[in-house]
Amino acid sequence: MTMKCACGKKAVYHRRYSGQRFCATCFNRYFERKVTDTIWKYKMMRRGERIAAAISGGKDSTVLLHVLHSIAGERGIELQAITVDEGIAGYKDPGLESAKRNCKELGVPLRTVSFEEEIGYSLDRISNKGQHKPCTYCGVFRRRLLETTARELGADALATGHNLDDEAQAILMNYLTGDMERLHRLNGSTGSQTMIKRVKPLSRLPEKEVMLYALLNKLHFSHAQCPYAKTGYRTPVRDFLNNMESEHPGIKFSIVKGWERITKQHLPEEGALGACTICGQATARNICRACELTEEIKIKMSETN
Amino acid sequence: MKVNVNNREIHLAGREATVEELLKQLNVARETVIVVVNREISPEETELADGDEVRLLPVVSGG
Ligand code: SF4
Ligand SMILES: [Zn+2]
Ligand SMILES: [Zn+2]
Repeated sequence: MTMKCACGKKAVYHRRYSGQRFCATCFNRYFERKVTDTIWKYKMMRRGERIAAAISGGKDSTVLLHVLHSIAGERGIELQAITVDEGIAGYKDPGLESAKRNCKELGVPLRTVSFEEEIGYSLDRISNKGQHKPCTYCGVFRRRLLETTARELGADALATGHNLDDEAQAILMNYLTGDMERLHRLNGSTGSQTMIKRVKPLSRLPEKEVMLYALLNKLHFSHAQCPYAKTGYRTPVRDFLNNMESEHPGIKFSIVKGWERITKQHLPEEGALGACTICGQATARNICRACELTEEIKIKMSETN
Repeated sequence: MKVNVNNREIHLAGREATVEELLKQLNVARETVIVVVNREISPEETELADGDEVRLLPVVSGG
């Protein structure tokens, strides 16, 4: 049984869906190349653009920041970082610390925004009162804060650390709930000028490879688990996909590729989006989801005060 | 054969076993862990030897 990299050194990783084995050096080269290929293939960035990277201090966004930083200079890209403090006790502090530390080491300017200041309440308080699951508020509000902050910073695109597993899970979850609108929105091209372009440079790399890159390069990141993570049904979907992938290498790619073909054939109609009557953001409804949830929280909070 | 996995002693049937077989026995999907054998990150096809020290690092992080 050969366990060597093509270069002759001892392998650290066997990429089963392609049959390749990599030593640490060759893995790093492959990984960085794959990220840059994804960026140019999907036209995520262009020379001279300013890119805002959303970072949480976790492994995915830490890897994103490092790889973007390593290509920014030669590609003429100006990099900025944004981190959102949702206000989750016991979870977010190590993430914020690691976000700060990485940005400082790389010399990337960092802007921190918090739910407490922007929404009025921390996620912990919101989830005590709200009727939805914590992840619903968290996801909608974080997305909103990232988009508005990125625009304030004059960014051309907002980059997030979503990996292949995140994408495959999200696609499957939207199928399971029959949410075709969200299925379309996943690719980030919302077809509207009022929203910022969203890009996912790690979206073609399996989570395991992202973790491997973080470990091999000894990156400093937070291992903390969000206490609310188990409340959604992402966990069973993730377990299902990982069990399938273990038996059938490559199915995560198939799911994402199939979805790409579907969205290409059925592009959402431009102009289907109007403006939210409260905040003016593009939305398919009268009031956007972020404003709807903000209103709900305001009412819930005033009821008990 | 005995190996030490995350500070727990695990018995494997037979004289030979790979990391992959160990993961099967523990019911751990290979996609969910990075395997360190005797302090070196190793592919799942790595052959284990009696007394090896194995660490399974979870790939998934929350949030
Ligand atoms: S698991 Fe849910 S609540 Fe926790 S950070 Fe993620 S989206 Fe927010
Ligand atoms: Zn090599
Ligand atoms: Zn609105």
